[in-house]
Amino acid sequence: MFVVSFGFNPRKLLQRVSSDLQGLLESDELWLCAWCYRCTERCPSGIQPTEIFLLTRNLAARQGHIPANPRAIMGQIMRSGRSIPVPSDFDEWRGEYGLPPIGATISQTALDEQRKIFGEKLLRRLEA
Amino acid sequence: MTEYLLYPGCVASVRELGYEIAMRAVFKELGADLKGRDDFNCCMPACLVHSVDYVRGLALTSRNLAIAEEEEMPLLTLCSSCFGNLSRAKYLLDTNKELRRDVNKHLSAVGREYTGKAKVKHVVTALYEDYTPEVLNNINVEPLTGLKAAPFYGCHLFLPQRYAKFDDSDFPEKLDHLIQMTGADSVDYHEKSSCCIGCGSFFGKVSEEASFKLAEVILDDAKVAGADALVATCPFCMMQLEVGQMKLKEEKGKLYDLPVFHYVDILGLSMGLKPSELGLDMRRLDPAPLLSRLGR
Repeated sequence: MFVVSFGFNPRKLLQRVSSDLQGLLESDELWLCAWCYRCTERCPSGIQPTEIFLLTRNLAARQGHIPANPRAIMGQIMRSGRSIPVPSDFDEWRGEYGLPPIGATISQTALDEQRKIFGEKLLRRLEA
Repeated sequence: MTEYLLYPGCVASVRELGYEIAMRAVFKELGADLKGRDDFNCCMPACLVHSVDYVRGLALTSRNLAIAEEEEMPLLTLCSSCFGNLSRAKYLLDTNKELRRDVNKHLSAVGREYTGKAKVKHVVTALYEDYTPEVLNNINVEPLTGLKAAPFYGCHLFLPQRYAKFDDSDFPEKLDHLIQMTGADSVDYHEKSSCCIGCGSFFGKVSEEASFKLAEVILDDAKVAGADALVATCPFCMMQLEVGQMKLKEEKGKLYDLPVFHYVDILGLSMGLKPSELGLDMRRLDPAPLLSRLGR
């Protein structure tokens, strides 16, 4: 199913990993794979494009190429522990439906350990 | 009594409360014991955090597996994306000793370790594997006779097979089977195992447009196949298929009239739970007219 007008195509991305690596590292297309895994599952040669794109993104990130949207969401995850912002009075609303509280952020222990595992160097890269 | 360590995830517990309500009601009715922990961290979507650092990303995901090992209970996820990320981490660490050693180096810095014992379940895999379709069929006291339900499998529930270990990757059929256990008919249609790009929607306008186009293809196909409703397994898919219908009505004047359920919604109805006990009054598209046609 080709629905993205400019032709997002895992085959072409994979080809560029070997033929145009630097161009790919500086492109936004590298960040459009939405992790559906269908190419990885289907590939008759056992190539795992999904994992290869992920490692290629590691190279891009090391050069500082992280597009604004993914960068913002990762920043949000590192600050609050969730990819979706939670309003401060959200637990009152959950309580009305008999659901237990979740907090505006994950627990302080979890946040601290999360930041420690990710490391200060990478945190600065997201905030840069 | 089956015990699970509930991993709530952010999409279900923040955006899809109706699903969380239904899931808790159904598992309570089934006699399951859901334990919570307040120190989980984000599942760390591979398409985001692992993209910055492969090993640290895996360590962050695996921190949750290490917590599950402490509790000696299977993790139970509501979201297919959480299920996919946690299953992927488990598969990679269980099949690659060096990678497990590198990940454990990061985990030991916060006093944790992944040993391989953790089990990861999704609401739908738990229902299929732990309760089994036969048992669900036996407790179906108010069957949904006459409901034509179109299954929408999503991605990470069954792809890739080596991570999810749940269903056939070309021709999944377990959700169809589960739907039939509620007395409803499962509608066969081409797009039932498509991607909705819900969890890829972080990329802004481009992926928004793509997910809008995909929603139209999926909805057209389900409608032509004669569906009364869609039955999803993932909160992202539920959101995309509902918001997609709202946008298609607004921008193209297309009316699908296809309420979107999670599988636990129809299972709960077949077990005799009321729509309000299943959070069905909280859906973006009101399923009340369809439910009243079914006598609920």
